[in-house]
Amino acid sequence: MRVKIALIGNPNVGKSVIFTNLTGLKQHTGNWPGKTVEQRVGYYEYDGYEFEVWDLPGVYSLSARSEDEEVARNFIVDSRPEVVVDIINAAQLERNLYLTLLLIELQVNLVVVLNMYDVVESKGDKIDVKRLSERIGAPVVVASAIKRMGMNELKRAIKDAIPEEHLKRINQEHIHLPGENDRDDHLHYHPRLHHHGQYERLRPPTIKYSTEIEYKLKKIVELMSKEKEILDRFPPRWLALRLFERDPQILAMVTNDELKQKILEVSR
Amino acid sequence: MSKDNPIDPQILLAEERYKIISDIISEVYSKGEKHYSKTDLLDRVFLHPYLGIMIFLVVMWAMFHFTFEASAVFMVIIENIIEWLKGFALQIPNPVIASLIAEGIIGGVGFILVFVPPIFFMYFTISILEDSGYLARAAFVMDKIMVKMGLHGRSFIPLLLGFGCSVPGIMAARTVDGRENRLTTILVTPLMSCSARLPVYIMIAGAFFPLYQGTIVFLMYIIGIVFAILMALIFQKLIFKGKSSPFIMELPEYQTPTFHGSVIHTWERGVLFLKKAGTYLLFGAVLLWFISKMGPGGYDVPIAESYAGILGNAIAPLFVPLGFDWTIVTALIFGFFAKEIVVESLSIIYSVNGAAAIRLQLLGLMTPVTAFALMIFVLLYTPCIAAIGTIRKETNSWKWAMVSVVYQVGLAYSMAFLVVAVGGLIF
Repeated sequence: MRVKIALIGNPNVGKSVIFTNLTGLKQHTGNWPGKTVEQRVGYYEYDGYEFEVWDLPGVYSLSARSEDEEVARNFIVDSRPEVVVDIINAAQLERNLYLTLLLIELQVNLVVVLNMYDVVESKGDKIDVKRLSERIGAPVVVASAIKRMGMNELKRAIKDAIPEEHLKRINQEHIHLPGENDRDDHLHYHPRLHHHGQYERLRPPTIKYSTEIEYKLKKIVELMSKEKEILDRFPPRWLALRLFERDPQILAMVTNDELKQKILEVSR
Repeated sequence: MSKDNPIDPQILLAEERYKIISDIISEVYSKGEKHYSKTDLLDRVFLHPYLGIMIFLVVMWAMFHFTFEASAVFMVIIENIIEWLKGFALQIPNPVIASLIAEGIIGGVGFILVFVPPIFFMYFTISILEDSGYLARAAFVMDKIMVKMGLHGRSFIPLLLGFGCSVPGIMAARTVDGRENRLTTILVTPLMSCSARLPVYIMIAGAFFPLYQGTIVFLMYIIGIVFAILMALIFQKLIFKGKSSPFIMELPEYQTPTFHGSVIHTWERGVLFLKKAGTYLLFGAVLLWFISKMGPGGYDVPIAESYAGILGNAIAPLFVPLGFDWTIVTALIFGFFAKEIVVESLSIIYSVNGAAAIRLQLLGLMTPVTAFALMIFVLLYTPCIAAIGTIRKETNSWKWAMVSVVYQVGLAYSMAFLVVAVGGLIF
């Protein structure tokens, strides 16, 4: 089995160039099922492991309002790739970090690429990469994709982001089935929220919001605690965030009207 | 935050995220000695709310001026070649075939080819502007005005594409959010002056305003933009009552355009025009030649008694207030198929040699005021049959296609009339 990687980023950050640099000619294109959005998947080998790279459409957010955002969000939520690589235009840090925060909300296994770093340097500016990495709680790789700089470092960072045992297990073609219970089998990033099935790769959110908001999120999670089916599909805090901001797609999944009312009360 | 007036939780979260981001940035990002990059400095000027618009206008004016100055000599060369070919074709022994080739095909399509240099030069300047990164800024500056006037921000991209051809412009309206906004954009995009109208402007401006060709054509484009915005406002306010939303646009870094790249882009677009000349315009020329030679009385009747003349004369009374005679009216009718055919048909109907002779014909027919009214009419009425088809396909209804035709013809007629009326008072 291959290690599944997703590439995501705002439009025009050099995502396609990085995709091509990583995979070379080993890629095939098509459309996302039922969508007019192009789907590209490529492959590469690194350190004896095979990686499968999914190029997600360029988006500014994950609100699922446009087809692009819907495709990107659903892929991450439903396929839970081993690593999500967020490509950032280093010269537009402020705008690009917005998507990064949304990915942190999704509690994915994140690797951040600071692309176009040479543009920042040519301005004479500096980014404290180490501090940035600490703040967002994810490895940060400096790159300039057009000059093919930083690609090996990126491959290593992707591999290092996945715990060794898990990598080996993927390599052994072991498919984890829901309900299976051998202890070292999966990534216990967040033991308390651990579910069997797909969500064992949840990482604790590295960035939290104000206590007022977090309190409300907890309340929503509590309210939802009986909705097993929905909770099984999404990370609980992320689910709460979406319900809090009344995401129509997610809100529609709550069929219990009384419960829906209570949730809407909280976000008021 | 009061209980009665809750803040949208979505905005609350977004604010929270931006607070965290600015906190992170202040911690990790340090500005260097050089405070502004080249892009920053240029953007300060080009994206300035007022200065930016002035620069946009000046750049556009310079673009058209350059187009005409640079292409004039090439136009004369092509004209001479066409003339030479025409004289050659007239020596064909069979008079019908000689006439078909000399007056129909060479007179019609050949005459259109005279306008290849300005079209190519215009595409060339647009490519340079695009590759340098300026065009995206122009869109940004215009977008600000549009949003201020209550239009949807994303509408500007389809409108910008409409400068090349209305068909891709109309199709690009897909990217506009909301059905009302999309419909408005589809309806006004054909008002943007597409490149097919350029030959008409050049022909008329060359005859009546030879000293100000570039400026007059520039004016046409500006009038097109103004009417697109005005009509969009009217549609928005009266029919749809929609609200506007700004859009996020990526501004690329400025770059020095390469000659190689610009030539390639010019060729990619220009070749489409050549293809059109070889297919639709050729077919139109043959058809026009046929109906202007044939009449109820048989072959080679005087033009006024041909089918084309009869058709033109039948509708001409409607255009008396505008001062268009039946030859112009016939040309305008065939202009429904494609705007270039307006030029093509005048060349065939007058069946005289060369652009200079056609200019003389036009000068004898119209006053400068009528000529300007004609340009306005050509600018505002339905661009071509392909655009109507695209509107039908994109809106999935004949109703909106018909609305578009009716309002554009109505607008063209009334505005041309206004020009004649006001012009008559002044001159």
